[in-house]
Amino acid sequence: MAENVLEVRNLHTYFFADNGTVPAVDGVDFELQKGHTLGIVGESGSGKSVTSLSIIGLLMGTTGRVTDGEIILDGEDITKYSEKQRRKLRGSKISMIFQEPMTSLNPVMKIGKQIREKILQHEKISKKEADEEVIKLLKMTGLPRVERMVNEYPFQLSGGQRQRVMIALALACKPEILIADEPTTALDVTIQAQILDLMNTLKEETGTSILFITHDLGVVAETCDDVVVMYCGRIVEKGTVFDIFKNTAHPYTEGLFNSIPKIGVRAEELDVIPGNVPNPKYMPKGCKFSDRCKYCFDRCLEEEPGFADLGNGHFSRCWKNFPGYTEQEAE
Amino acid sequence: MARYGLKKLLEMLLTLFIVVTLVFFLVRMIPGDPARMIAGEQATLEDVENVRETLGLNKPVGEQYVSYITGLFHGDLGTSMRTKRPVTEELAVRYPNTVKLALVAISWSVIVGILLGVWSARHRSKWQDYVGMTVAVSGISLPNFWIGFMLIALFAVKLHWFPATGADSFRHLILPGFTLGTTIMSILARFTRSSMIEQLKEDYIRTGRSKGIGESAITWRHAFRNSMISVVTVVGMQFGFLLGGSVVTEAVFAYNGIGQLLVTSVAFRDYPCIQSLILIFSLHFVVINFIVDILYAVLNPEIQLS
Repeated sequence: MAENVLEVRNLHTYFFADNGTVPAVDGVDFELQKGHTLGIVGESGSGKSVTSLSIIGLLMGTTGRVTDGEIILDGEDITKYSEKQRRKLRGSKISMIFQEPMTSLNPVMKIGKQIREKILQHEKISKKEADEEVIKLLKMTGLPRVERMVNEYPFQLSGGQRQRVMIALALACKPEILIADEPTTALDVTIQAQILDLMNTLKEETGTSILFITHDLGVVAETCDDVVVMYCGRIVEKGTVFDIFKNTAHPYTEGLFNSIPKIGVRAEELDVIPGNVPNPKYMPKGCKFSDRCKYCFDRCLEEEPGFADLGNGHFSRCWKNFPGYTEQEAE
Repeated sequence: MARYGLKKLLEMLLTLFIVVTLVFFLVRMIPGDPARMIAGEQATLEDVENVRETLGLNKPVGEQYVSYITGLFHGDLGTSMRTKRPVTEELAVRYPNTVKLALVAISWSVIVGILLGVWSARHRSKWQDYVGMTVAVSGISLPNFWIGFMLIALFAVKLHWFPATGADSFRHLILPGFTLGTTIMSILARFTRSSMIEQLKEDYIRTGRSKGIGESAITWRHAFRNSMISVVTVVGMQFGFLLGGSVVTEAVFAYNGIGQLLVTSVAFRDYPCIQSLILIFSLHFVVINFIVDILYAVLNPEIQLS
């Protein structure tokens, strides 16, 4: 049994706005194994980003709050921590790379200083030693002319270079967990591939576990060991990357795969999932996916299914995956 | 850099020349005749003609313009038509007075206004924010003459801490300096607050927090410097206005500055005085703009390096 670096248990993160409460994350369980990459997949509004922000503790400045559940890191539930304790974890044990490399660095601070600031925050070393560490980190990400770059500002770098700087920044202080929130979405395809390669290589070298947030199943196939598929704040399917791709169980996951254009197949129209993510205020009563599901039958409208255990850690939240489901029921 | 400086300097001189020329002709278009005002309501046409000749207003406008410009190059601002004394003499006491008062007002209002704005932004929608913005709105809404009178009533008349009027020592500057700065403090507090709130929403702030650095480092090291890029412009503008003197505050504190002089000069159609004052005002703005440009470059490396 592999060791879990992170366990998320029954996580609830709600947003409290004047016009109502939005359950962005509504009872999520998963575990991240040491040295593994766990993909969290879902469309916009599925709660995947909020899950990651809840784990690293970056909900401040929003109306969101973890209302229930546990986030267990090194055997301790960090949701019980004070803000000061959480801050100590941020950057040292949990780091994050964001979607927008163009705006994620401070425009008026030199690259080197932005990384050094983090190292000095967590490690008791001199500025000079920290500067050497910065150079080492930047070189690790394959950036050229690093010695000069530390004295440059973000606007002097390209998007791909900035994302490499963000990776160097995230890997400073050797975090156990790296959260990557759509790190390649804003980059063009060739740069995307380079960044993914880099992340895979660095994961091997540093042993860091990665939580990879994405909507792109192609990226999942290239990077992840395990996958969690989220819909409306809940996990609808989870399992190894092999099970998710080869033994797809949940209709939503199936829909995600079908909506990828297939090379060599000339279709008039892309097979998309009909409709939109439901408004949190008018959430379907039974299964949350029922109003968009092509297999939907009576029971789905009445009662939300639990997880059907498909073996080997593969779970699906769908009535048709339970034994005893018959085709008649679908009629 | 030297070439950039030279270019800027030439631009500044050109601006000033245009202003001087425009003002010279514009003041002469204001209805009203300085000769008539000096000679008095009852004076005969002949007397008025005589006065006009002494003032040099009987000469063609073009000739007057040439002699005015030539004078300027020799540091001669002309002679006040009202007091018959050189304008430089009129300004000798009043101008430094105004500068002193403006410096006092801008110093305290910049410090307090910016701190208040940062404080409000950092505690957005909490009681600190409401306190801060109440102070700021009061500073804008309460008229300066009222604040001035209240300060005199309390600190001069009742407590005798500061003199009520005059401009002789630093202690004389406190009450009018405070009065004059209230509006600017409020403007800066509100402007800094919105600028900080804007910055605190930026992605790089989230990156900063993900590094585990504290909120005060986030505020001061990251958001503050970025938000100051737009605040310096406002500070520059406000300082420019302050250096133009203040009619109301000078009147309330019987303070001998150029705000009063401007009003009197306009009332008397004292052309040389009006021209000189406006020349000084435009000089202020030109110089302040130059300084703001430099500060911009200091704060924003993207401008500095391009």
